[in-house]
Amino acid sequence: MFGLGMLSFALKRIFRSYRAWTFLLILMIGVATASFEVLTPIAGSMSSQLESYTKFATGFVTMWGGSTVGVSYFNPFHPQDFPGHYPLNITKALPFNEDNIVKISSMEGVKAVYRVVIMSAAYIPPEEEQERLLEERRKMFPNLPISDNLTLMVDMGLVGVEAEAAQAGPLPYANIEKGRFLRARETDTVVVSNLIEKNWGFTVGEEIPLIILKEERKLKIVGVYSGLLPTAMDPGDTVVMDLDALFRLLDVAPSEGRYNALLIGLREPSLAQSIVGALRRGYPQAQVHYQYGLAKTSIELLSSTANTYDLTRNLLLVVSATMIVLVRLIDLLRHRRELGLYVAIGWRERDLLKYMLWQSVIIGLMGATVGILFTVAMGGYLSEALIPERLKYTLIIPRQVPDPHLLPFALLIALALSTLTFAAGYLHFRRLTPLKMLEEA
Amino acid sequence: MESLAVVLKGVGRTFKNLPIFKSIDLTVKWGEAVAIVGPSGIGKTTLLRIIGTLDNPTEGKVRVCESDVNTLDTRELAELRWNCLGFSFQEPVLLPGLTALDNILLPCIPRVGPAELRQFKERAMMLLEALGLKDRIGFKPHQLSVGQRKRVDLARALINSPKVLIADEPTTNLDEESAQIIAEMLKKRLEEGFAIILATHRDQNLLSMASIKLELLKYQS
Repeated sequence: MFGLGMLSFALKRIFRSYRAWTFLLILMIGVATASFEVLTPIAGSMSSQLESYTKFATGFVTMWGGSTVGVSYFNPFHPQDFPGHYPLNITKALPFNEDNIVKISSMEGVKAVYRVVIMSAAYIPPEEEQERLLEERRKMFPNLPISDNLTLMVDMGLVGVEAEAAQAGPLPYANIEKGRFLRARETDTVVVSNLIEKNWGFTVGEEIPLIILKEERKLKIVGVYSGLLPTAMDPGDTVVMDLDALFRLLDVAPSEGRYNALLIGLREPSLAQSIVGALRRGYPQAQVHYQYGLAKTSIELLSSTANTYDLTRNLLLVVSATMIVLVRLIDLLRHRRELGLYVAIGWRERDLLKYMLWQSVIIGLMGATVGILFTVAMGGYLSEALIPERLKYTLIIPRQVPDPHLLPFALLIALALSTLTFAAGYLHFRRLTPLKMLEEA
Repeated sequence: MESLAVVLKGVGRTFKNLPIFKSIDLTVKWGEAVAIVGPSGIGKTTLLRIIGTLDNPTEGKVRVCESDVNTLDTRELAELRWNCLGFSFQEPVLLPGLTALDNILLPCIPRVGPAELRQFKERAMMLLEALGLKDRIGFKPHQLSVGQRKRVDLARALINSPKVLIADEPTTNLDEESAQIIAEMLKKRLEEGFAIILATHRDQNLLSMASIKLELLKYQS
């Protein structure tokens, strides 16, 4: 009933009399919260990458050939006689057809073959971006006269994949950060790479406008993925859509469909070398990779780094918890006489508990705030610093520091740690008589 | 049967198997003051703590405000302290960081709501004024003299209008003015019909108001 009076009293006591101890407790809870907020998303992201990468590396061969077809060369600004304007003939431009797929599927050790078409399409950034892009161009080509009225386009990767491949698990496109992956034969929906989200601000639920065969198509984003494929197969700023839906957009009959990349699932990783050898011999123009070496190194590095971060975070939590209990006990020992006074002047046990509980809650919330503010201020820098250089060049480790989804858990941890301070105080108090408490500590 | 403020029957206390005092009988009526006298270390404070329910006797029975202290649990003891007792310590226990007013209001914090707290604040002001500390309301303990701290401690003991006031050497080591003010305050409480039990060395002012003088002597087995 009188909880608020006690709250205001606890606040007064904490900040007027226990300053040094309180700040120490707040700092320790802050450290624990911050370590959780910084290390959990990084270690989690690494572990999830590890999972997809392990599957990918042990079960898949990538094969690609031929150049990317730029469907945006048919953009509405080019006249028909523009040198870059040529008719799209997917049948001629892309190297792999259904016969190839049947042949590869029948090879010993091949579990499944998934078709991939890698193209590019233009994105016309909005006016406010145009100026920045023009400035960048001028810096890049100082001798080239670039008119202020020029409208610049950006090439984005447009990739068609068989949505079923995602069900098989190993596809890097299945490494979804937000939203979901495509459903088979879903029209006008796409998943975009996290680079598009980062560079251009498009995210789940929004529409991304791409110029495809002269027309602007607005494609609804249903998911954001983090890519694992080599840039030849996943050009970075990539929009991925269902293969059939892409063919429909390009007005290509599925029976005439051709592809410039394949993902080949293996029954047994030990057969990888012989399959890769056979594919290389059979398709000398294609690039065939079983990326075992890269995968192995990355897996080992990812695994050890993720484990180290997990361990560090857990150690920090345990050390903080231990320190918090010790500091609280020392603090109570120093203020034992005060508790004795409360008993002597008629405070009930529950009043003392309420008082200590409020103190713990205040300290916990302050600690969480310090930890979260620290993470907001330093999270970006720390997450950058905590990812080993070697990994930066081989993988994109998506991370959001601080991760808003983790905030409730960070608060819970802070409150759990502060509850420890409460429990330590309570257990200590229970053992003492009023007279013992009133004695000089 | 006549209501009594405090009754001690055969109360004794030992410390590490050494008896401090033994078989003390005492009956205090309302409006009566008891002065416990004796040399230092004789057990005056221990006896006051037993009456004030802060310590337990090793033998005998203690009744305060019609409650058999020996049989009360911690919750009932807390109620007794709030409803009936006021304890002024030999060494004033004031919380640093809190003002004189806040220190006086400490007993009320868990017990009363905001409206009632305002009334207690007014009472605290009156007490401070009566104890000559009107201009020290916002002072913190380290800004007060020993005598002033002692008076604040007494004001806190009186904030809940206790029926039984226990004061441990309330005027020892104080200047004449402080001692006089405290003695007058105690006399006033006595006139209002409350019981006072105090320990003193030889303060004539206090001794003169006491109707019972309990002299503790060194225990000889």
